[in-house]
Amino acid sequence: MRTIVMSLFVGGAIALGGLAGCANDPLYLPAPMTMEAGARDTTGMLVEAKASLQLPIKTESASDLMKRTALGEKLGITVPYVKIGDLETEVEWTIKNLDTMPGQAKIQLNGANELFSYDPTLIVLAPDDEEAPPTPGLDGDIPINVPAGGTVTGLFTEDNLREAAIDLDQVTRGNVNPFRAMLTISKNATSFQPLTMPMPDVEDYMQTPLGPAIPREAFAAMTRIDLVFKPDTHMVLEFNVRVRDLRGIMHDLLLAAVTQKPGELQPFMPMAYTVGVTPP
Amino acid sequence: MRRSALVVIALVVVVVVAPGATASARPAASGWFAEGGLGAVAFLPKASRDADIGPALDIRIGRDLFSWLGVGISLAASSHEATVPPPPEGEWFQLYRGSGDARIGGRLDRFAGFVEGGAGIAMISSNVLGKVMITDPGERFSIAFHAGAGIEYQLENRHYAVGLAADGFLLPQFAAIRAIDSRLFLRYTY
Repeated sequence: MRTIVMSLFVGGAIALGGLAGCANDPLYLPAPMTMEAGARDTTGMLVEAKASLQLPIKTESASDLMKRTALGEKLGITVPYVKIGDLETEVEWTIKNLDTMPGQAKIQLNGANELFSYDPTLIVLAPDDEEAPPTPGLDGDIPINVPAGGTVTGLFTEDNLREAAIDLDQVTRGNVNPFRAMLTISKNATSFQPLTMPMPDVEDYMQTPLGPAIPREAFAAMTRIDLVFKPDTHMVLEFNVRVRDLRGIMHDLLLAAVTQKPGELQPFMPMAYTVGVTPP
Repeated sequence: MRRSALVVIALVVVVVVAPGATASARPAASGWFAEGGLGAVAFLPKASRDADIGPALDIRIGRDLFSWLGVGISLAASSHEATVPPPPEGEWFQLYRGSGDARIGGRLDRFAGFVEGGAGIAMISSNVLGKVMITDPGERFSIAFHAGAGIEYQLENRHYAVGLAADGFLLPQFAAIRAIDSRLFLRYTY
């Protein structure tokens, strides 16, 4: 009996220690600002709001850089510092309708990895066709009903964000058509084949495979979250990014590091991915 | 509520100061002991607005130095829903506490009472309360002070007792939040 009791106490103590040492605890990054939109501008167009949140990621250690370089040489491709599986990210949002009428809102999720940023307005796949559907965002754009004076909350889940990050990499590094990337489920993909650049101005142009396939261990993760808020009445959107830092690369000070220890943050300068328009 | 609190305090005081009561007490082992408890942690205002009451697990190991004085170390964990203004919504955090403490008590037949107090360290699992300024950026640890009281019922077996205890604790680095940790426990004395 004494042994059983002792085992229970020791087991409990170990369980408590294990819980306290858990490195999988989420971190919360508040949005830089409240996004307010839905009013009409001087031309009568509905005003949209855009916001970006750069994840505060620590500078890469020398050993990480060496491992990454070695892997890149082995695979013959660029291996990013922040890869799929390093961070599990979720975006939680709250919409508040400030109007006395019920309305609808859409939230479009975009973003950037360390190599490229994705903005669907910079990708024009059919420049000569005015009726062509606009290039889709990475996720969202689903109408959400918001009652007058009411509040609605929701989220882009970790699965949504993982899918969005892989789609982003497929479109930007792999030149995969954005419609194809968004309409196929790639969150469990093991690789993708990069293609030649799309040429929407060239009639009957066919993209062809280019270079080696990119394996999952080299998929780039999102390092920046971009949201576009499109309500049809006066509303505000607040959001917050929840990160599970599985690799331990987020800065301890989180967003406060931007002002307090900027030198300890990895600077990322992703290139804007464009098709059919001049880069900004 | 206030009346029941007074009754508990009075019982503890009577047990603690009862002179010569030990002689007629039910046999109870003394020395090294271990305690395991289950209960709940409830935050006091203002933190109660931002963190809900949550289940708690406590473990304590110590030694009775005298019949009226014991020392020990304790580990505790509790889990709470953050009720900060959304977003986020429906998120939980855990609070871990480890401390050293002293316990003064006495026995009246099969009942015993004690008062205890100590200090240690607390760790919070996430920065979800940063939104309401309870934690600062990068802050995960705080000093912890606690004090409380409890009563025990000695079972027929001299090694075992069950009890009920409540401790208030203060975490100065986490915006001086205060909470009550109440628990039912089983004590085993070697």
